[in-house]
Amino acid sequence: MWFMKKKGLWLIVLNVNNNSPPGKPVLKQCHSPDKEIFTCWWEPNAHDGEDTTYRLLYEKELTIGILECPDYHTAGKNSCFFDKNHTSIWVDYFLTVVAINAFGNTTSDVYKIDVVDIVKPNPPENVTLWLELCEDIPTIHVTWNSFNIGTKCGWITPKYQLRFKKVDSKWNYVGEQTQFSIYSASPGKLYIVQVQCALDNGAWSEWSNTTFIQVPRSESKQHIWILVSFSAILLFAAVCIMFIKKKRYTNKCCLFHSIQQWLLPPVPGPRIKGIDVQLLKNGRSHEATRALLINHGFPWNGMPWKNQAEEYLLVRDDNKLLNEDQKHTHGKMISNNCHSKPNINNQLNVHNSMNFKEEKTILDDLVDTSQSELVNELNYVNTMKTDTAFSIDTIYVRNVKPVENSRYVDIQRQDVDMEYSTVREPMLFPEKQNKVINRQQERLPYDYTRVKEVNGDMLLLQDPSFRNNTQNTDYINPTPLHPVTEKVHECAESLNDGYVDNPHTHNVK
Amino acid sequence: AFYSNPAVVCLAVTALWILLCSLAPQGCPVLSLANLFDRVIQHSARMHGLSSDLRQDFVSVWAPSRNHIGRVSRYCHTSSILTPNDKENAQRMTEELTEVILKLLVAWREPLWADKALQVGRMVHELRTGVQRVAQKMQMLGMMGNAVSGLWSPDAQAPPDDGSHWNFGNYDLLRCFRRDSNKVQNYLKILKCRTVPEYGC
Repeated sequence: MWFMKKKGLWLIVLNVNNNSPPGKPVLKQCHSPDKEIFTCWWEPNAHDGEDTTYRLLYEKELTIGILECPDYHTAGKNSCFFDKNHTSIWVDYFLTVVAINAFGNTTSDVYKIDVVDIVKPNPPENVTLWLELCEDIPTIHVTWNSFNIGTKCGWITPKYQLRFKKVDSKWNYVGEQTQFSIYSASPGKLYIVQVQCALDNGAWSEWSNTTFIQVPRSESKQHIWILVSFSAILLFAAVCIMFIKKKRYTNKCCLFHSIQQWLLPPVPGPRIKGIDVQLLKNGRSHEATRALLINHGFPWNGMPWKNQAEEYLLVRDDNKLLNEDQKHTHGKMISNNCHSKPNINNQLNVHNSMNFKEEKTILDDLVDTSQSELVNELNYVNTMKTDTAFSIDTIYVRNVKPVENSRYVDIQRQDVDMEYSTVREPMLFPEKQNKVINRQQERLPYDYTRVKEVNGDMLLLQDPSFRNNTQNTDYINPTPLHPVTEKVHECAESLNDGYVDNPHTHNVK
Repeated sequence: AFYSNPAVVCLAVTALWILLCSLAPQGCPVLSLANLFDRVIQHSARMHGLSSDLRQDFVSVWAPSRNHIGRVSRYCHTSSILTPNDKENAQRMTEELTEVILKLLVAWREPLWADKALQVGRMVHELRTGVQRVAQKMQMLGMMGNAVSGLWSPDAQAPPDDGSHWNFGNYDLLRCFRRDSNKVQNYLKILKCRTVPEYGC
């Protein structure tokens, strides 16, 4: 009701809404935080005016008479607070709210409650997180204020539920504990924790305020994991490559040998054109060396690599390229591209456009270059373990270094324990060849041995002029060496079990 | 199975314990009383849960929106048994609390036993037996007088009733039983924390 003055006339303008009794209020909810007191709230009608008053009246089971709310103020507006003296458990309350104004009053519906059914505690307070680092393993401990008052005497039994999560992940729920620890927390992550509680079998409280904790990063762990993952990737790649190549190795099928051959690509054994291995084996070295002497100066020609590749793949009696079967049996296609799978039949793959720097790079990838005991500038041919002329040793290739303007690769060798192995390659009978290989007219390092190809049970024989200088020892003294070697297969892939078998340099008669 | 029933196990353990203690009355640990309390409290919790389910099923089926405008609900048949309705009163009673529990359990045996198909009747009976054992032990340990010994006989008096109006479809009956089972559970907890407070209170 409000007044308006207009032209001397007092007009009483009545708000239509205020001319009637108030609207019907509604009892919204009642809660008890500890099963000893409780509070009820109601909602007045939206159209009620400011002058409407509210009264809460109730009846109680086992009690005669209508009672009124003992406290309208403690819990705020439109509420009624029942203290301990006015609270009874296992007793039905019948509550009504009456809205009263000048024009009448309106009573709400009866709201029946039993305090034991409306227990809903407040969320736990003082949720504390603290981090414990035990040998770099972070653990988060969560504590909070627990119910004490009614718990000690058994009146109420609280239970708690906790949830935690890392930022941007899902909640993990843990229940029925009075304290909690998160073990093996992820380093470097931000954790969020919330706790809620319930009494007896009542309703759960609201979740507590979020509490954060940042777990510090563990540097050592990161490095370890980087190392571990990298090693695992390498190992996996090694295994895969080994399996891919496994079929190429028909002679040696043991695992270790396969790994060895992959890690240490075999250097093709020396094959000297014009040497008949069988002759040597038969002990007729005289005839074998005679052929060598004839051919020792065979020239390197300037043919492109491609043609030479063809040439050296010729088998036995014909000049055709090795077919697939022979490829499997004897290994390899010479390929400039060490990473690609050799394709014998496809001459187009072979090209000579690659410069030696690329070759070196590729070879460095293939060859283990990490040995600290690398002996640069090898100056001797590998020695045999036995004195027999036919036992062949294996060369472990290290640090392949290309020579300028050369189509061949100088192989630096290292004195390591040799493993006996044979290279089974088709032997090239010099008399079948019509081509001549030009020899590079360049100054060679004294201590290099150039090999061209691993071919059969070949012996690498030194230039006859060195015979006098070499005993059954390694070649140490640098003397001009006129290698009668042939082209080396640079790529490890290109050989079967292609460890270079360099014979012990000894007097060759 | 017979052996899986916790109340039966509890009874067996108690009987064995009593036998042993009768042979060696000195030095029987009090811990077994706490164990017994835990067992009967668990049993009462199960019973209360079952009663809540029963009532809830009834409500969901019949969906009564009981509107007791200006009226109080019907009295339960156990309303005559005076029970503490707040924490202070409950803590004040110890002996009386045991008596109240047993009275309630005895009072509910009759209406629930009538419906043999219901598991809850058997549960009430077993719980009553368990509480009797607890009370006997407490008396043996000197924690309680002999006032309640009258209730321990197996054929303790149920409230005089002809049992005719026991209608388990009665909503009030379900409501009353649910409330009384909650009382029993709560009283047992209070009793335990007064008797053996060092074990989980």
